Amino acid sequence: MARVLAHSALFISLSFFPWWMTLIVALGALFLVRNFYEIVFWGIATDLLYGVPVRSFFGVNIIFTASFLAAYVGAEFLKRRLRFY
Amino acid sequence: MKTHFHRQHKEPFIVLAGGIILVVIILFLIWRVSAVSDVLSRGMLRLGVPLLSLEQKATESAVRSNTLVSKKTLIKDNEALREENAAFRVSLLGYSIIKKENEELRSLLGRTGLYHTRILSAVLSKPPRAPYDTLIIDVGTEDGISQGDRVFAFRDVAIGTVVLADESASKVKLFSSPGEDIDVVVGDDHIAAIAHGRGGGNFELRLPRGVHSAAGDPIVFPSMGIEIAGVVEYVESDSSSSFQTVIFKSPVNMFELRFVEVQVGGGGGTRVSG
Repeated sequence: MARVLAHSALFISLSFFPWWMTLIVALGALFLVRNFYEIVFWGIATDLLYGVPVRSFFGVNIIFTASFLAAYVGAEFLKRRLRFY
Repeated sequence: MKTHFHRQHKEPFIVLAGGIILVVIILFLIWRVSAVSDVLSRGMLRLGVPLLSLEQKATESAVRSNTLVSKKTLIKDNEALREENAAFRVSLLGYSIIKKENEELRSLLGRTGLYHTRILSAVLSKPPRAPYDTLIIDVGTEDGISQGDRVFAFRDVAIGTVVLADESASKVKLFSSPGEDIDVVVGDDHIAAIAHGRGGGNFELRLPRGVHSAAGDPIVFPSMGIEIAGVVEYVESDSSSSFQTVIFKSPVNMFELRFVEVQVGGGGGTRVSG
């Protein structure tokens, strides 16, 4: 159930809300859902829809994917080390 | 028993490693191979546009039915806008005369045939939905749009170029995209400079300290027609430096854009028709 909710929240956020809100939703989803690897595919979809190479980001057009991948790895690492999780 | 134990742990590892390799390959293709990136982006545009159009339609119907604002506020706003409109009409009288005269002079000097068709388009997605400073608009190759076409707002404000055109939707990269460099002409002295995008319709450029530039100065694109890039917000000057930094902003609020015009045929330096 949490997984479905997380997917719905991400879908709505990526479609209608500012990017920083999407980042908050993504972080929340990563901690609420166990092994939420699908987040990387949301990142790929979003980058394909909105992305263009941006010079300030080293010409990279995969900002969402890279951020979500880093957040996923970071969250999984933290979850294994947190006592209260 | 021992072998069985190893198999149990190896399978998820293989799946995970396979998944990571697959993701890395996809990312590499999207990042480095523009043909792959374009095909996939077009696919996503086709999938995403119907959804983004829903938001546009919902906003339009909410505006039409006035469900989101009270009648009192609307009447008040309407009165203020009418007054503002009347003032603008008066000031525009002079502008339209000068504009017509300018076009006549140009045709006298043989600079005809510069007219380009513009296509009105609704903005389906705009900043800050993604940190890329891109727009998604509802016109595409079916309407004659192609990669490189310039995009305008409020007739004379150039805001970006089409970077990807699909059948019925296009992706526009704004000139203010972070790190983007554009050639501009500053102020009444027509100083040529290179401006750097800072995102959200903001730019900065560096000029020698001796060059006069002040808040309110117009900054335009070097072109035959009127293509406004922005208006100077403020000038940062340090006595220890021989340069000054000019911060300027597009007169268009990118976060509130609803419609834009695409100049079919690309290139700058042109006036518009229809």
